[in-house]
Formats: sequence, structure tokens, C-alpha cells
Amino acid sequence: MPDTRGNDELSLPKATVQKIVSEILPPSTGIAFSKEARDLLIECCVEFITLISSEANDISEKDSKKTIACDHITKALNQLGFGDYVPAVTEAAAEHKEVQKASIYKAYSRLHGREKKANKFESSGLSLEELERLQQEQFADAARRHT
Amino acid sequence: MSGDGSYAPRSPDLSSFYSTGPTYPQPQQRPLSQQSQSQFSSQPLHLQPSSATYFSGPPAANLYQLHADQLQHQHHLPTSPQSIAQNLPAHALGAGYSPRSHPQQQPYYPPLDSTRAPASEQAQAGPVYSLQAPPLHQPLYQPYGAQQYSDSGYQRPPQQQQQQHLEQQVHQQHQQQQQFLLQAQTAQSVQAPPPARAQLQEIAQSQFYGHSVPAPQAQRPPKSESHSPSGANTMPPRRAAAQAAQAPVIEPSPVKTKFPTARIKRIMQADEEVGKVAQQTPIAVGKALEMFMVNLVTKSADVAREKNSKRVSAQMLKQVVESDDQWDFLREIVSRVENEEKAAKSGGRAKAESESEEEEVVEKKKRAGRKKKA
Repeated sequence: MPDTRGNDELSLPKATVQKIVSEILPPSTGIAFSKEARDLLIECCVEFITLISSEANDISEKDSKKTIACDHITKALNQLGFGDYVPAVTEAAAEHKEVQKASIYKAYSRLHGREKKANKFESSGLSLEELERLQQEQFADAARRHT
Repeated sequence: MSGDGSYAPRSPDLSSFYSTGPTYPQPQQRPLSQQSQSQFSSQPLHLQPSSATYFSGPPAANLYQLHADQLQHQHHLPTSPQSIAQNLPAHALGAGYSPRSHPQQQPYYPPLDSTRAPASEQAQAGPVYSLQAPPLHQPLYQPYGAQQYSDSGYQRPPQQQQQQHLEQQVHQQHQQQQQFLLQAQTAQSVQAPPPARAQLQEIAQSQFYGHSVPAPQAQRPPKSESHSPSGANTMPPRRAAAQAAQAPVIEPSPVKTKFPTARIKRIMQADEEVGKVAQQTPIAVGKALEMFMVNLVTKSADVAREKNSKRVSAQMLKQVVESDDQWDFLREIVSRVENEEKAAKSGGRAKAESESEEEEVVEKKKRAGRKKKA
């Protein structure tokens, strides 16, 4: 199919699609996807992305926004009859945001040495009771020295 | 001084504290602080045993008993072996440890407390005492360097305090380190209502309420009561409800593989009209695409099953697409491919398949080469 090869960058990687298909249809089901069906599926996927993004683009323009946000995607899904995808989509986006936040925080705290501080307790390898005892001993020490 | 660990530098505060002692409202403090001094001097003897924490408790408790006029909390000590075991450490630790135990009593926390191990019970027992005899704790722990925090601690707004307690619940493991920072809060939480009261063992509860009336903070306990139920009922359920609401809606997807977001973004932006795309957007689209595929693939697999076929053909996919108006945007593509296939059929299906296979291999090689160059 020479036409798809030209648009290769605008298609989805076949190996990934094949992998996902076999995740949906594990070998235990005994049903496999033919190559033609898979290629057709890829085209459908690309069309789906195009449809969603163009609908989301319209919505974002009406919203007088220059950037397409997740919100626009979910609205587009609703309008196109894929409302049942919305909860999972929002969750996935939120999840990703969380992960990102966490990694940013990690990087930030690494920069500022906060992580080290926060892990002091864990890295001490002592239980609360042991730490309590240590502190108690130090209290006693200090008291002895200052009386 | 500096060579002796973190506590040593703070020790000199002892003297300054004693001088400032009288500024505190409680007249008893001065004698107490002196007492505490003497206690400290004698402490080495008690603490020499390696397992000193628990054994150092009795002397401390005895000190409290000496000043029993205010110390109704004494009644707790003998109540039950359990409570003794739990309470003694709390005493032994003195106020220095009360910060650790207080955060756990916050209203938001109680549900967890009830399911907690004895360690948390210990913590629960601690508050009972600190509540009843706040003046006692101050002299005990302030000499250890909490002094500088105590003043601000008393002025802190309750809200802030609660916030910080929340934080502590989140970072419970770090409580130990935060302890000293949080002593300011302790000073407050001594007066403030530890909500765990509601979760305390019945004995402790009855005792506590009995004592709370004579205590200077007589007005506080009721407030805390109103707090603790609301905290206990609202906070954890809120989370549970949110989870329950989400769980049924979103089924776990069988798909673990994720589409490359860069590719999705490129496909989206292939449309000239589409401008900027937020960072999360390709992820959202990728998820939608995943569900779209699951839908399409399972339905075409159903068709294949109906036809007793083990292979999903493009024809079956087409049938699925045409079965539902939801897929009408795919009809054009489906019909086109179907036509191509008919043309391919005339040339011989097997040949076409092997050809496409070869193509794929070539494509892969090309792609790899491109990546290396890039």
C-alpha cells in the first residue's frame, strides 16, 4: 500500500496497534486479527483522532481558546456520541497530571535537597519506638550535662 | 555543646525558660519547673537501662503524683494493665513526645485510629493526659528547646493547626522528624480538642469527660465533640464515596500498551486548523482511542465468533462499522478499503498478504534507519 507509506508519520505504529489488539483479544479467545483488518483498524483510528481533534478544535475556537485542552476533548466526545468514554478519559488525564506533578515535585525537591530531609526518618532505618528511646537518651544526656 | 547532637545546643534554654517561667499564667509552673529540673538530674539513674523508655515512665509518673492537686489524670494510671502500659510511656516521654501523639488525634484521623495497632493506642492515651494537665507539660518540655515555639504556638489559629495536622496524617512516617517543629502545635493541641476522644477506649472516654469539666478548657471539649463526629463521618467517607462512584463507571482496561503521545499529537496537528494542543490532550485522546479500539475490536471479534471464524477479516470490521451510526464517520474509509480488497482478491489473496508482509519488514528497516539518523 504505497499511499499509507507516504503518510507513515501520520499513521499509527503497526506493532503497537497489533500489540493492543492482542491485548484486547488474548490468544485464549482463539480469535486473531487479519492483517487487512488491522490495517483497516489503523485507518479507522487515525480517522477517529482526526474527527475528535477537529471537533475539539471547533469547540476550543468557540471557547475563544487557542489551545485544545482536555475539556474540549471530552466535550467533543460527548457531541460525537462517545460520551461513555468521558469518565475514563478524564481519569486518565488526571492521572497523568498527578504523575507529572509528582515527578516535578520530586525533581524540585531533589534540586533543593528537600527529598533528603523528608526521607530522613525512613533512611534512619529505626522504628518509632527506637527513635523514641534514642531521643529519651539524648534528653537524659543533655539534662545530665546541664545540672 | 555542638558536639553532642542536636539537643545539646538547645539545652541552655533551660535557664532562660526558668526566668521567663513566671510570665505564664499558671502559678504552679515555677515549682514544677524546678521539680522537672530535679527530675532531670536524677534521670540518668532511671535511664541507664537499655529499655529505658518504658521504665523511665514510673519516675515521671511519680513526679506527677507529687503534684497531684491538679492532676486528676492520675486516676487513669491504675485503671487497667493495658492503660498503664499505654500511658506510662506517654508520661515518660513527657511533653517532648506529646507532639507526636497529638496529630494522630485530629478529627480526621479517628477512623484509622480505631483500626490501629497498640502503638496508636498509646498515642491516644497520651492526649488524655496532656489535656488534663497542660500546665505540667509546658515546664517539662520547654526546657528542651521548645520554648521558642511555644509563644507562637499559642497564638496560632486553629485552622492552621488543623491543616498541619492533616499534613501530618499524610506524612505520618515523618512525624518523628517534624516533632520539634510541631511542638508549637502541641502547645495548642494541649488546649485544643483532640478528636480522638471519640475513639478512645470507653474507659478513657468516661474518665476524660469526667476530668474535662474541671479542667481550664472546659469549653473546648464540647467543641471537639462536635468536631470529631463531623470529621470522622465526613472525611474518610468522602474518599470512599469518590472511589465508589468512580469504580463502577470505569472498568479496568485490558490494554496496557499506550499509544505514543507524540504520534497522536502529530496526527491531530496534521489538520491545519488545529493549532496548539495542551500537554494532557494527546493523553486524553490516546485514552479515547484505546476505548474506541476496544469497542471496535471486541465487536468485530463477536462477529467472527458468530461466523465461526478464528480470524477477524476486514469484511467483519466493515460489518461492525456499518452496524451502528456511532461509526458513520468510518464508512467512507471502510468502503474504500473493501473495494481495494476486492481488487486484491482477483489478484490472489495469498499473494497480497505475503506482499504486505514484505512491505512491513522493509518499512520497519527504513524506520529504524531514520531513527538512527535522527
